[in-house]
Amino acid sequence: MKTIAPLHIGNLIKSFAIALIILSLAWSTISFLIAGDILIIPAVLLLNLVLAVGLGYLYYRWRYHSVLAYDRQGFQLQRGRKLTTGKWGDFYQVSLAHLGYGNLAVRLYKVEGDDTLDIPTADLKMDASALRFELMDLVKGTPPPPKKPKT
Amino acid sequence: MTIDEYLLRLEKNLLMGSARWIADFTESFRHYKIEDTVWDMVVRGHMRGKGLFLSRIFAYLNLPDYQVACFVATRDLGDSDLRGLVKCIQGYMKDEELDWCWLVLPKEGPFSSRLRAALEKIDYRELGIALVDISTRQIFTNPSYVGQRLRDQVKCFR
Repeated sequence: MKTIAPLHIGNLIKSFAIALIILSLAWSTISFLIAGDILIIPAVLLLNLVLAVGLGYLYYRWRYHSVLAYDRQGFQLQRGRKLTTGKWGDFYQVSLAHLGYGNLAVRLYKVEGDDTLDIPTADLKMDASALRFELMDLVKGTPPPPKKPKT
Repeated sequence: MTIDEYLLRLEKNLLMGSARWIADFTESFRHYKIEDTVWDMVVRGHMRGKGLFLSRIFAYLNLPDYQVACFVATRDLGDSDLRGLVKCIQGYMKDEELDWCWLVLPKEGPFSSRLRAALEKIDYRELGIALVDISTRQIFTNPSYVGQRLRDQVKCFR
């Protein structure tokens, strides 16, 4: 099984920034409640930075880290804590979707239901166009769902 | 430049390039089948962009939410084939409630004078058609306004 699990630096920095902002706000509130003023102590700032690195990494793993593992039969896609598994035979169509802000994804159309599944190629640091052609080959044999009668 | 390279550049231009000033193209299909016609590429979109807070409000208040598409076929065509493709697009537009469409026909080599003459005669308001000769970089469009706007978007040779 081919596995792609890159570390996305942009999302990691975002997670670190979120953790740092929350810790700084928490320290400001606590010091204001205790001392009546926002205390700026170098040791606390340093501790906040160290904690933000650890909490930011945990948040990144929980929210953003993407892993795609696939072979000719099926795939496993993990986005943060959410794991999706599937077989290529469950999908009949592949497209390249622009999610905004330059982020491309490969979109898979399920045979049953009107569901789609997006593979976030930007987060996986993959060439969206090349992956799209590869997946088009893998879903090629699947017949599309019957057309719904028009209402 | 090969046809495949041109298609990749055109797709990128529609999804993320200058075409976004005209419409928000969001999804691209390759080898897309409509009835009996297989299109090399179909890109779907709409005219009301998203953006951040203010631009989203502006788009909601000022822009019509037209549904649009761009069809690309790379096979060798005669003038009757062109009419067939136009008919297929018109049927699809009706089914999917599209407001306007582009049709791009790229080719490595010159187009016949009959095809160019047939193109001149197609003057549907909602359809823009471009013949793109990627070896000489010549572009011919139909006379409609949508066709004229298409000229700048298919110039993705580098």
